Amino acid sequence: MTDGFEKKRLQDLKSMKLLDTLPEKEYDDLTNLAAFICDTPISLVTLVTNTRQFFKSHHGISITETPIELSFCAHALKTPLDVFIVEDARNDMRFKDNPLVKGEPNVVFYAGMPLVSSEGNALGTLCVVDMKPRKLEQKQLEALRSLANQVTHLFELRKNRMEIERSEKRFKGLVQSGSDLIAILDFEANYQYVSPTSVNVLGIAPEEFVGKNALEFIHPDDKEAAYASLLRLENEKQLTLKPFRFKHGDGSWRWIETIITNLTDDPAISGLVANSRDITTRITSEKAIKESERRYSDLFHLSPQPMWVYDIDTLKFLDVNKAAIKHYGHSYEEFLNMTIRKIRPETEIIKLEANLKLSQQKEKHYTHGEYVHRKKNGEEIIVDIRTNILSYKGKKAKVVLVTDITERYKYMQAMEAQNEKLKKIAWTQSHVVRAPLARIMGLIDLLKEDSPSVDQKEKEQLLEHIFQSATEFDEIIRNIVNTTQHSSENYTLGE
Amino acid sequence: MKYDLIYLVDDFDVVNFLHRILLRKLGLEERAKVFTNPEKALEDIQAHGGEDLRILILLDINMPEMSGFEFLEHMMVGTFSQNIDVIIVTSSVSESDMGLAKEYPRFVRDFVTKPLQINRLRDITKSVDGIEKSNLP
Repeated sequence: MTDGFEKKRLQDLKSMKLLDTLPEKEYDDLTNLAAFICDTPISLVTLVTNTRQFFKSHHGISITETPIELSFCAHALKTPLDVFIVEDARNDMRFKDNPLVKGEPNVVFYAGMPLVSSEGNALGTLCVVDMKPRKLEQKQLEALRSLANQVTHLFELRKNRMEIERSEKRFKGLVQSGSDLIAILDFEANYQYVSPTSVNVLGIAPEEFVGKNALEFIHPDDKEAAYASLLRLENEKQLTLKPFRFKHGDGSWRWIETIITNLTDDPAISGLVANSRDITTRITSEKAIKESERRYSDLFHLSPQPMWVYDIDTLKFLDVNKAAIKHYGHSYEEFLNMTIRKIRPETEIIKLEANLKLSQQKEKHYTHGEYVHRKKNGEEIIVDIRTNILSYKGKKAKVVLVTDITERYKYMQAMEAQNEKLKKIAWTQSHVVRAPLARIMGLIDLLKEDSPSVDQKEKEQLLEHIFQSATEFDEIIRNIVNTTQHSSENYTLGE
Repeated sequence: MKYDLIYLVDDFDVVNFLHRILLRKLGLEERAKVFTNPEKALEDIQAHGGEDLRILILLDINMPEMSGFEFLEHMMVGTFSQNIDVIIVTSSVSESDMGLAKEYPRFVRDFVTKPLQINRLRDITKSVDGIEKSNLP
């Protein structure tokens, strides 16, 4: 018979791991008691498989098993909740030819109470056997039923014990081969237990921790914080300690992250369970990132030139530096409630919108240009703007570097005006200065040749003209000297 | 000889006096007309200069009543004979002035820096085919 139920029953039986095991006192005590109560020479705890019945306990008989065909118990299992009784096997059709009846041990009387497991399977029986016809009183039957219950309890205990052993093994495997260090401490941080992984994690054998205090290993600067956290555990079930430095077996300091669970109420642990792992690599890189962030933040905040960061989508200021606050006159809070439109005069807004549209289309990372900005007091300044796209606290933003070129611009304008004036002077000189000179040259030319086409009177005129032109020349030069001095005084820088 | 009339236009008498003597040396003094006021010169040219007369103007630039360029502007917009050649005679050595002179190609034939040399004047007045435009800077 190997239907579904039978299959499950056999699996259940197998999982008990009772078959072919040695006798155990607990079971023998129960068969002993059953034989005594029922006043029979034989009592057995049988386990029935599909081929045989095994006697886990056999009181009053030496054999430990028989084939299934000879089994009385197999019949008993058909009524799992009731005791199965054969008063005289010699008169029973089912058993009168049974070798156990016909020959040794000459079974006559049989009473078997099925042993039903927690899964609901009848695995075998607690039975009593006699060699003469018998009847059991009601009290005896009840006692037999109670003892059968005790046997099944033994079965369950066994099963539980096996379960515990398995989970313990699994737990040990985890504790011994994981990358985490597990330690049990008392409230004073004295080690009660340290997992073997301490060798991998800290380079220290677990037994070296015995009788020592965890604080001995912690960096002096971190000790106080770690101990303070430990005290908090009197009220809290679990907490994560701020990373601290722990002395590695090789003498180096390692950054350790620890989660402590208060299991002082758990009698199996009765202590603080610390799960620790080495996070030195993470801390080191975090520190490097923080350092670099601080450096860039300093560059921003301490820059002598105005700088700010604004949100590309909303155009709101996200951060401004001290130089910007000083230069534009808005406070930090005012800036953070403004958009970049606010620092431009009305006339520049159109230009701004056009530029924004353009940069949206082109996605240029770096831009550079000259714009007009307006300070809080209304003063307009000309600025050189350099921008760069960056991500600021998860927002798409632009960082802006401002150079106020108003002075430079004015200076350039003054230079250009002066240049214009100088050009004019050059032109005047070209005409006015050269005029008398050219005349003198022409006149002398005529004097040089003793030409008959110039008469005496005209020659005198020529000399007179030369003298006049020379006088004029002299006057002009004096004038130029005066004008140049005057103009250079007027065109001082910054005018 | 190419020209029937030669106008000497310069606010300084002494320049015109010089140029007249140079023309005298070339035997052209009797064709000279002298003006220290450019406005008067313009009126005279408009009054007497018909298409049948070939006219040369020696024109100064820096004059108080009217600059040489203004003089040329008037010629551009007024009714003037096509038979007029202008030689700018100036004390300026400024390149911007030479550039300006190029803007009146209808009349301006040359740009001469004072003092005007006799040989240069001879070339200007003698040349049968007129003065090459390539002489212009």
